[in-house]
Amino acid sequence: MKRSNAFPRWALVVAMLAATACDDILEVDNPTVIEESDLANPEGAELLRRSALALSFNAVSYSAYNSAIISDELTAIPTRSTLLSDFVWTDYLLDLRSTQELLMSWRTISGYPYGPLQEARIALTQALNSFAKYGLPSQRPHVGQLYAFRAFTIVQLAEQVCPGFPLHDVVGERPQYSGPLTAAEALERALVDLDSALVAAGDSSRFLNLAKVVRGRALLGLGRFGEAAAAVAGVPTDFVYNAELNGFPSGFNMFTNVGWYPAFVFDGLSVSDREGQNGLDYASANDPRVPVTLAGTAEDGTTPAYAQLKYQASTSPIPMASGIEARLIEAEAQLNGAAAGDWLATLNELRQTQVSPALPPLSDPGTPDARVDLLFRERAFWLYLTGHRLGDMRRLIDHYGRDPERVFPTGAHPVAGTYGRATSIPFTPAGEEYANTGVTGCIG
Amino acid sequence: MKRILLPGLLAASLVAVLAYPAPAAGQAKLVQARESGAPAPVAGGGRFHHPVTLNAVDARLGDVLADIAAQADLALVYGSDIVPVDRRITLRVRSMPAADALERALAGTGITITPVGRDQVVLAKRVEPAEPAAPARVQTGAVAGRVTEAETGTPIAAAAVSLVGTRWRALTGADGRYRIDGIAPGEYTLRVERLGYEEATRSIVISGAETVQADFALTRAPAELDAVVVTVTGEQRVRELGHVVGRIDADAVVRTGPVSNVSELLNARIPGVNVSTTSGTIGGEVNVRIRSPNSIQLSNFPIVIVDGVRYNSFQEITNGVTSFLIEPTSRLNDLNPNDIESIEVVKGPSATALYGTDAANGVIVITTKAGRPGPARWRAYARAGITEMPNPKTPDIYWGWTTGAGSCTLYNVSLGTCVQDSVTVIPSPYNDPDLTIFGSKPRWEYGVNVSGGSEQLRYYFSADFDEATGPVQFPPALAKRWREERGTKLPSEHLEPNREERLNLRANMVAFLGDAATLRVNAAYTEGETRNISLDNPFTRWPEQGRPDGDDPYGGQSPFIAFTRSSTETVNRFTGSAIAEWRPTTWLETRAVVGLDLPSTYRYTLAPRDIVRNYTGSVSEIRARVQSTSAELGATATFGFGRILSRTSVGAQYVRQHRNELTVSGDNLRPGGASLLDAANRSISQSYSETVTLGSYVEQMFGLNDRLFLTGALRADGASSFGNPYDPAFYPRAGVSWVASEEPFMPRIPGLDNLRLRYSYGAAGLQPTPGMRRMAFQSLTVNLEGQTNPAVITIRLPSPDLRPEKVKEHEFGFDASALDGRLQLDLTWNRRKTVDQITTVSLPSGLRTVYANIGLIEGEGFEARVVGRILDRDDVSLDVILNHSTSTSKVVKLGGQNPVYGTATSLVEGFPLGARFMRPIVSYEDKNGDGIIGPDEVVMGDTAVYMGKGTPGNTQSLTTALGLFGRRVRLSALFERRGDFMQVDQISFYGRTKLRAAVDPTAPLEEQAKVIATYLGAPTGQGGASYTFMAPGDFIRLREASVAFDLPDAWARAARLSSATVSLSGRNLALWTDFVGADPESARPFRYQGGVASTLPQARSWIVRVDLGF
Repeated sequence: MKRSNAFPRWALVVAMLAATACDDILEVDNPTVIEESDLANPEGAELLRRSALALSFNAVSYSAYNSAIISDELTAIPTRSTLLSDFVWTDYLLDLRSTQELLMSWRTISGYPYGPLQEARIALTQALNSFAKYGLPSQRPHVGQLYAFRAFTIVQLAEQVCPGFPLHDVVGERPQYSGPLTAAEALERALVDLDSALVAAGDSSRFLNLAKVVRGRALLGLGRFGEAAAAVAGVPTDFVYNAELNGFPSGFNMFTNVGWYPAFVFDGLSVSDREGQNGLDYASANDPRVPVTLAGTAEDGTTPAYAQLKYQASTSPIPMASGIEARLIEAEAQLNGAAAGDWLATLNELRQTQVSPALPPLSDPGTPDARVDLLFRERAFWLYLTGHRLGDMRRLIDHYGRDPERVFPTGAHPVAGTYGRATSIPFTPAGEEYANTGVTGCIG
Repeated sequence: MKRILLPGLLAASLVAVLAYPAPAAGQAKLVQARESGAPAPVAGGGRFHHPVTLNAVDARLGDVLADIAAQADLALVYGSDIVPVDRRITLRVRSMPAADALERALAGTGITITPVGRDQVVLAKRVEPAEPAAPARVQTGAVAGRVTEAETGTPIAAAAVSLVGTRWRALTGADGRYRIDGIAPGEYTLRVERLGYEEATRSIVISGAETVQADFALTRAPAELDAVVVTVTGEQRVRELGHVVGRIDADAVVRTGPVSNVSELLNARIPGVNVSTTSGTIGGEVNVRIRSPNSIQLSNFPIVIVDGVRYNSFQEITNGVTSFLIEPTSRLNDLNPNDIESIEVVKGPSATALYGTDAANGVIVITTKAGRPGPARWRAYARAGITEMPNPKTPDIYWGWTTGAGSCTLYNVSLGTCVQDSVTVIPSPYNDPDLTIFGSKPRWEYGVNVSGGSEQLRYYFSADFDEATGPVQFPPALAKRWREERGTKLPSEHLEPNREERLNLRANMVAFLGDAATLRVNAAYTEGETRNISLDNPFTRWPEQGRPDGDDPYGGQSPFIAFTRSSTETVNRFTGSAIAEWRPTTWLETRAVVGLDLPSTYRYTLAPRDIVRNYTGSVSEIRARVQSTSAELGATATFGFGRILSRTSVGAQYVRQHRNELTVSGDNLRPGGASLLDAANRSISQSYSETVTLGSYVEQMFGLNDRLFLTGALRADGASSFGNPYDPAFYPRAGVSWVASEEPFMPRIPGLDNLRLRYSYGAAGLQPTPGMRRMAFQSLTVNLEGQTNPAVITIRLPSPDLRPEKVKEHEFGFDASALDGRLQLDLTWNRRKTVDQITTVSLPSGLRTVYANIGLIEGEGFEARVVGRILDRDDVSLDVILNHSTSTSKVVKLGGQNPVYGTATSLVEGFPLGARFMRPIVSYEDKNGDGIIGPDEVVMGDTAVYMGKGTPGNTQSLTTALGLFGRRVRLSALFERRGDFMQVDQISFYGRTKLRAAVDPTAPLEEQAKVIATYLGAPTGQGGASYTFMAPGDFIRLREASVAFDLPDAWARAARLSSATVSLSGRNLALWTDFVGADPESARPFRYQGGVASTLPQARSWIVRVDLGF
């Protein structure tokens, strides 16, 4: 009889388990997890905007730093760690412009600045998608800002990265893939964004001016000088839009001005001085626009090591767009257009008013090539370490017909080897094969 | 509909059990007893089933019995007054089991046949049980006796003694004695069971108010068929299992061996179980792998179950301060090995399916000591010893000089950037007692435990305190310089940066509630403090940083930086469980388990400012609170149908694991600052994870003639990380075990005692970590327009279709015993496959990642265990245990992902997980005849080549135990070999500009080419396969050696002790290897990877232990 009494107890156990073994018992609540539903509102869109901007600032920093190395702004010098530190070793390879070795080494450092630029661009897209769904009318100027930023990242990609990169996006939660693009195709995409930016920015002069300068820069890249000048018309000369950096590295290496470290010469980089015969005399020009200090000598005991003083903290902001850049765009349009006589006045006006003490006025060098050289030298000094120089050197080749060997550093590298022929930063097509996008790497 | 699958399966299983008809009394007895004219028993074995052939015509029964006994080599025990030996019978049989022949011979006599042990059979008169009478009028009897070990005669405590098929049972006391009172008159089978021993049975008759004496001598059965092991569904005999179970008798090892923690207890004792300690520091990281790794993305660590409760064995890996690496602390070693009774290792999915999700990497089942009946029995022990670091093989460093200033390597010379005019050689500082970072440090341990109790309540209490200093030190000469320069003495945490203290308390209680229920309650508390930092940099990078100027060979930075950073982790951990067992009927056993494991850790890390120039300091605090909750309900019904045994089990398990970690860190400290308040920049982060798994299972086992066992099982799991709705994951299992040697038709092979064949198949899972399915965001703080604001960033796109990884495994093997148990052999082959391998898919730049079930990993292995008793005399004995295992894994499919090449992290289809690849040197030639090799004189291969496995492909261990003077003196040694893997020499790699071949032009050209190759990078598209120094890592290590001495009984008695043992033991005493780096065993593995030899060599220890019983 006892035995029969046991069955109801087990039946009770079964019933209990049946009751509890439902979804509820498996539910977990993680207060640190952000659910998508938490972001499905205007505040969520704003949170995404902030991170997208921050990622963009991060990309600006990497872009400025890396383009400075492959161009003539910074150079690798033979220090003890030049050959030992992977980080600086990569910088040396980048400085050497040897495409094959760049590709090899680039895998190990996340493809700066290509990766950060693409991350920022896609984050901007996600923020834009969120504003489209949940944004309030009062947030519309921020939509303009986001479009301008996205265009900016595309312009940076076009100027610095070799042709063949894609512009993938996220639609909903799924990736939407693009094929490989040329620089011109990318810049056209940027112009579309800038059209949207100019409309959405409304009466926000700050965002409008940002969009105008970026538009001018994109059009300059397409060789449409007149349109470029028109785009930046009205941008005040004292306007500046900075990439803000908080100097506190996170897991994404965000928000630090990676080029700031005043003693970075000890890690094997120096401000260049006539690098590879063709480089400009940044270090020895004693120009207040490129402040430097002689920090010592390289390990060979002879090569001088110059530290830049333009950015003296990890939080130093980096100008993304400025009124000075607008005037420089106008000057280039003047040099290439009907108002050729005004270009020098435009440059001298900047030298007189935008730097203290004022710089002596320039005189006309007399020949077209020399004028172009002078204009680009002025751009190089005004825009030092802001991510413009590499694009300018490429434009000298593409739009002004210069021989790359007369534009980029050539000959023997001060560390070892001989300068290569790369004129852009390569990217690695990681993940493209899995996604079947057809993107295979540089196409030119 | 999906929601009812999980409870539905459980309900169906339970109903299946409940639907059994209530067994008739006779049926129930058939399971456990044998009587003339009844079917053969399921228990028993050995010679009882040996085939015999008879042709007796009108022969005397006594002669027939003698003939059967002779053919089967059986000892028949009976009284001639009971067995009618003069009876005339006719019996013609051919190759019939002795059991059946006896049954026929004794048919109609009313004699019962009861096998006892392997080779005895008792014949007794059957007494018909009397009709139940009113309790007041029944005269009850008792049975009492003593259980001892057959080989040594020592008493066996905690052996379960029961009258089969009844509620009467007892446990033996410390003296091996037992007594069962109140037994109704009748004939019974008395059974004795004890983990690690062969089961023994005996027939007894209680005829009235009397006490029947029944002593047992149990035979040790470490791998014998009738040993009992713990499974999900309760205790089972080995012969019933289709898979192999590794077992460690912990007490015997710990009492005399150089074992300080659980990982050392596990190491090299079970084939296929690989334990690696990252470095020679104390309290550091431990990795346990069973067979080959299964997963790329998820853990390859087995789950650990202590007294029925899921035990967190995670390792603290969060750095907190990102500027340097902190040595993780092993949580597995929170357990006090002195409290462990036994460890059983269930190796793979073929056996672990019923453990469900997370069990794919195997299960380590730890049973702690139980209370013992009788008066309080005290045991105290003390250990004292030293830990030291053998001097590693480290190269001298070379500096080449050029006129003027600066160094000049051969590489620079070949590039023409300098002309070398001299070379300076600096000897390794590790050979200089003033400069080495290694030293001999003390360790102590004290412990006491007491056990005892009554028949109704038993207890085991223990306390243990362990204190050890790691074998590293601030170099004495540099410490002296510090004092002279700064006028202060370095604090102790800098002088001795590695130290551990641990207090363990345990209370285990067993209560017998009535005749049919027991309740066991276990509680343990651990309080520990571990100070440890990673010393990889000063150890591996000294050649790189060592400078020829001054008296600091470490470059003036490394020891100062590493040793003056301190990181201390404290742990407070409570683990408790309650296990209730209830046997409501003779055929049904039920079990309920609830348990908690609550480890809380706190880690404080400080890197002071101004230790070196321009360093501003950092500090962090990490608080981690972990909670693991387990609950289990199970029921097992056992029936006999003729020669068939049926065992049905159902159950449900619930496991909730919750971890909440808060990290606060800061940098840029004020001078002298040591707290977060002193930091100019502060940040905070929190990680939280919670997983819940609810599973139910059903298992059905059929046994035929106690020789052939078929098992089928299915487990269904729902888990929080499966997403909502919770599609259950199903894990099937099937097994066959066949004791072929006991089959009547099997010819008897001289010397062979038994032979068992086994096969099992099963699947177990690895569930995704929480949130893998969701789109993942992360909070962060950004500065915008001069203001600090919160923001949210997307870090991963969603993977809504993600499934658990499933590991399927086939296992086949056999166990054999020969020469009267002097030789045992277990061979096991396994083949496994991980399907739905979860892989992080890197999407094109900017899109970040997703997880996908796209990979396929295959693995296979072989394990062998040979146990031999070479000598077995009263005065001398010699035992040998040889373990051998091989394992390999192969990446079959990466699902379109790009292969990953690296020195330790490769994922390349067709090659092992974590294979090592290297860009080869095709040729080199001194073309310009300058006597040195330059970059343009080395030709490198265009593609990386496979060099070998990253983890050992095979391991062997050899244990020899020599007993002298009746085993009062015992000497043992354990050698371990690991082979078939490549290891990376990190010291040479980091110091590649300071090697002789990098500087000295007289160095062999081949060595110079190796150095030059390090500058030439990896082949295109194979970024990780840059040349590095790599060589076979095979080694043999004298892992343990000990000598133990039991004081003579007279001495012990004079000291009022029941036992006294003194032992001297050593660990890691010798290393034989051709590897040129420091220690091929020390590496920091991660998931499937083998790691690279960049950590400190394995430490050596000497320990004296005194163990007293009173």
